[in-house]
Amino acid sequence: MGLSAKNQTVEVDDRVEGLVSRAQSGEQDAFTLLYREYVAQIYRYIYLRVGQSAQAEDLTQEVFLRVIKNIGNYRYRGRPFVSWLFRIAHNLVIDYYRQMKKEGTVFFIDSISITVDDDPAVTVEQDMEMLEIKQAIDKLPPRQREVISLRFGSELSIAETARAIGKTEGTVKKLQYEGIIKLRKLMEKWGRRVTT
Amino acid sequence: MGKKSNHLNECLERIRHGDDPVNCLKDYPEEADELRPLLETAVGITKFAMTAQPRPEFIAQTQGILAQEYYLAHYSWKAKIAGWLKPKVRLAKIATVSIVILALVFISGFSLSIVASEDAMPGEILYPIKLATEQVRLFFSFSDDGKVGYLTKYAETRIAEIIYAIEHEDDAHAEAALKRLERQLDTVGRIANPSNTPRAMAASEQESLILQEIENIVNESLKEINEKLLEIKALESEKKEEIIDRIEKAYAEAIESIESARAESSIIPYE
Repeated sequence: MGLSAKNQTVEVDDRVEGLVSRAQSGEQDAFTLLYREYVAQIYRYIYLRVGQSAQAEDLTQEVFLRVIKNIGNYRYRGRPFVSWLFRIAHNLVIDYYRQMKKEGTVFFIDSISITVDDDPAVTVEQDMEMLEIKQAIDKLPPRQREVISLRFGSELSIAETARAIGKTEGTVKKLQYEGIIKLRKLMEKWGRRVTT
Repeated sequence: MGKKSNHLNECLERIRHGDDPVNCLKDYPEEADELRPLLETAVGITKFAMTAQPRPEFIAQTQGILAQEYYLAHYSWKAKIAGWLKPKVRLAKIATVSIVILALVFISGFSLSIVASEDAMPGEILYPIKLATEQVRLFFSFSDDGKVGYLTKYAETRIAEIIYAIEHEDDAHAEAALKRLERQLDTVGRIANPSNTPRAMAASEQESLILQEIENIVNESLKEINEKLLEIKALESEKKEEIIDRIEKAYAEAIESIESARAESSIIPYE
């Protein structure tokens, strides 16, 4: 990461920690800003993990309810708020899977529809490609899937991902590398080549 | 793999910050063929992930729910009481934990000191703890024969201390240990025959048995110390004869008191 990117990260961290501090002392506006800052990232992370938009919405809401309940206990101590936040999301997803397993629930994967081109043929092609990416992500081992979700779904840095899942940065890089290779192989097996 | 995963990550970070993937691949020409498809996949995943967005209605609705919850958590009377209590509860927890830790340290430290003090000799730091422990054990021994058992054992310990003190040419501590021994055996005599007066229980069968037991304990102790007395005899000390005499006298007086009590118990009629 370049120096300017690092400076940007530090600035974001400082701003977020300032908001957290204000939210802890009872400023509702500060909490709302934190929510708006992270709701999409949290949602994407959960969505990539659970594969269903309705569940992803419920769990996203639950993450922020837990933040309200526990924000008084948050202390920086070298671990930024974003890592703490994603740790809550991570724990909720684990609880969710545990519960589903207990209940013997079958998972249905939402098909997603996107429109990025005016040509209907291209749109159908892209829809299929995206659906396959999603199915491939679902086939990853849990740790790789988690890293891929945090890195590409929530756009967390390596350091933030490492803190969120309690692993070293080296392990996160390794899981990311292995995850991408596996995804690539799955896509090739299905006769797909990801277009960028 | 470490090198490749680092290079892949570096390219991903550069792409994230707006760089062209081609520029990064140029920096690693020998790995370019391998990295290119991986970068394509990663970019494809990011593109896919970005299509997953929470619905605007969901965001707005949740914001409303959270605002309500936040208010309840920070401004309701329950929250105010909880906020007022929290630091106090935390302090109370810290205080409780500290007290428990201190108590454990004290108890374990004290227990270790007691164990360590058992071999302490006169003049050593732990010796007073050894004497205090003896007193505590004696205090919590509720039967006469139990007390006599401890006292005779302590008398034997005193003799070992006397030998140690003489060997170290420490007459003062030898004398102090001797005096303790005399007091302890005197106590044995008084337990058997308090104030040399007939006891209400002296005539009972149970009391006779206890006196018998006390006598046995003291006689056993006397056998035990004979070897130690020989040890004292072998020492180079001007006072050794006097010390042996006093020890023998102390034992003899204790036995005399016991015998006297037993004699009294046999002449007082059983009620």
